[in-house]
Amino acid sequence: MVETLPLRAALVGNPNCGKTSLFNQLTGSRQKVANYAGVTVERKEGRLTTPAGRAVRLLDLPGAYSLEATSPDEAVTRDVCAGRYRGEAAPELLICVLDATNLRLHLRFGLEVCRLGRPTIIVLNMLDAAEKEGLKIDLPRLAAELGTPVVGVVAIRKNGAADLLALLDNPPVMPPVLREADGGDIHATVRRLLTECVTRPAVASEALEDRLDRWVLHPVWGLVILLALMFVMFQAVFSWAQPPMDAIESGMTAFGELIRSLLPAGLIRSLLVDGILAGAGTVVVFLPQILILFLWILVLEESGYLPRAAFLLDRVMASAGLSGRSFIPLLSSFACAVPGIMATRTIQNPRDRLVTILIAPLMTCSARLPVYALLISAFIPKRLVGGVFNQQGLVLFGLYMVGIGSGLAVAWAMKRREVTTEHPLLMELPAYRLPSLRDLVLGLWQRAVIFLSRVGTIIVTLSVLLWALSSFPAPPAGATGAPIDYSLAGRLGHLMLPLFAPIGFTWQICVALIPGLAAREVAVSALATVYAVGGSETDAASQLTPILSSQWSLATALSLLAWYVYAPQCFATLAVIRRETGGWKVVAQTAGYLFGLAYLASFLTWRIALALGWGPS
Amino acid sequence: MIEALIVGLLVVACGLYWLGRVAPSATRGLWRGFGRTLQVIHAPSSLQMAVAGRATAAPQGGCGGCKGCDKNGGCH
Amino acid sequence: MRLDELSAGMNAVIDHIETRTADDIVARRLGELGFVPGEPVKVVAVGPFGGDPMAVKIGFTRFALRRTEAARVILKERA
Repeated sequence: MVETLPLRAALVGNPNCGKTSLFNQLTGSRQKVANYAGVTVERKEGRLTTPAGRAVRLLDLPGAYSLEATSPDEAVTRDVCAGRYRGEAAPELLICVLDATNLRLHLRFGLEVCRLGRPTIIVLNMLDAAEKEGLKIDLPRLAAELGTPVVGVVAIRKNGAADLLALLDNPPVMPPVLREADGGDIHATVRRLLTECVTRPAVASEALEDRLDRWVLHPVWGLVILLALMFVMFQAVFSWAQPPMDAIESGMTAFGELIRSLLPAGLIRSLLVDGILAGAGTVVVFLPQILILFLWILVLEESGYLPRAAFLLDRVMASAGLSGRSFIPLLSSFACAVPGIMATRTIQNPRDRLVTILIAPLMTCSARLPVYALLISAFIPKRLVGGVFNQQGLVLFGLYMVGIGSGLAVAWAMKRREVTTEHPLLMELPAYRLPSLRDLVLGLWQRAVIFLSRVGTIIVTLSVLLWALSSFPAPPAGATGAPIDYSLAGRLGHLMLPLFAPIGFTWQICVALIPGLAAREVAVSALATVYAVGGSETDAASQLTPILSSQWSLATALSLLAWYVYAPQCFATLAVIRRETGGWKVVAQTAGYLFGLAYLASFLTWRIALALGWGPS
Repeated sequence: MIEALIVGLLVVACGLYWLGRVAPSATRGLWRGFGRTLQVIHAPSSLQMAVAGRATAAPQGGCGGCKGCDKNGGCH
Repeated sequence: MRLDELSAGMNAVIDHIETRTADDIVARRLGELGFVPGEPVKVVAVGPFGGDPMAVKIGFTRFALRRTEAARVILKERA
């Protein structure tokens, strides 16, 4: 028999069951991501071909704890599974993914799916981890009890889903025939299945979990550990990154010298050296720092520590009126506010969701790191404080804390007049896992590729444009000032200066702020380009740090740092807010209040710094 | 003279790139026109295909062109 | 006794879940996460500020819940 139409299958499962890794493993790069009609819930579909050549269209449904939906995500899963979603054909096969190490929780959802009365395959994921823990799961017995095929997979291992693929050649066409023997009580069935099909030795790993949690969740030691981890993280960003940064920097300088010696003075040389190399080269130097930051975040994420940090800080969040659900979106905003804002979809209360979206841009995203690092290394002396802490790392830590503190304060101010409603937390604290080296390397590699491709596209093109704007038009014959003063960029900078002079900015900063709207790190490359074009021929193009420390006062630098804590200098964030809220109102609110705060903070910083005698001499 | 031409072309290309990012609808018309010109001059079909793809490409989301964000909020 | 009155390190068995309103999402979600009559629970830790939230181990899974949520879980009195 020749199959003409592809089989429509859907993946369902609890959050944290490894459904997405299985989806990636099965479909590879043949994925299509879109939104479900009418709601901002991501719809992921992929294609795969079974060993026997059967085509399958696989839908990855949002993770759900239950088919009794409590969030827009879960409602989509419920309706698609039941074949009730408008514009979405009912799946012919449900593939229900359960975490084999956490069957007590996941099996209940599996039973719910089986009761839907649709052809179903039960997939036990992380079977290797279960075996390592000493769990023995009787798959044939479980299949007999559930009345439907049960297969084991290891989604993170290559070919770990071979059994599932083989089963998809001849998928079940009949709904499961559950052996109902517990009076319809789903929990009683789960307990019975667990005692009949799973043997669990009295293991030591449980004791290890308990011992770790006793320290990590301890009211005092837990906070100490959390604080220490954060501290070491910011210290590492400066101290570990120095050698590779120096190497990249000297490489860039040598490259610049090479171009200088090969090309005659002229437009092309100026474009290459002052435009591209000064712009992109200055930003590439920050790659090691960004990778170190992400190494920490990845390790904390993979090990299962992050939800525990959320546990420790929950009371702080609650006092600002935020629910525990806001923690994960805010945390991902430290990488980038865009996925953070998208993650607010899991927040059920619309008001909570709005507040979380509004304060997400205040969490220090990784694109701010180059700006912070540049200004810190130019103006904050490298000195040990208290004999242990690098002063530069301390300032960076402080900047992150100011962002977090401001976010909490804004949330508090917005929720102050509201009647307090209950904010459920109800968060799973997953088992500790040793992060796998492969995942870490892969994660860092992807980070590096993303960063470098941003440099190669956004930053190089903007540098070229900015170079053109600051080189043309050429000064008229007999002009006395610096050539850049006559260029478009120079004129624009001087035009903006009256607005920004009260907060201590120079006209070069004003010029850099405009392309900096595309992405925050562009401000660094833009400053480098403006100073390289405006500078004399002898200045080495990639040495922005000494130029800044000689031309700016400390007060200007601090004011710019304060600006970058608040300013919504990122189109992508504003665009995603529009998409997620479906209108310009919240976008205008966000941009308005953030620019207002930025101006106010910079003004105060500038005035205070002047009063302390840190102004221009 | 040649130097100014090369530099000018580069700057225009970068400008077009940003126009395409900020206002994709404006550049889509340009690509379509370019595609028609290629048909008229019988350019290699692979080139024509590539340009046709540009003209019909759907706008992409993500941060800075990165599409690695998953729903649970991780930036991968 | 209620779950929020249990101190850290103590074990107990769930009697039932109290439903506060006609459509109590929290109570329903608790049931879905496995907080059902007869299930043994243990308080693993309590939060640093005012003992809120609390980390509860049920079966082999741990959950963080705020005290108002834990107050819905009624425990069996020990004989």
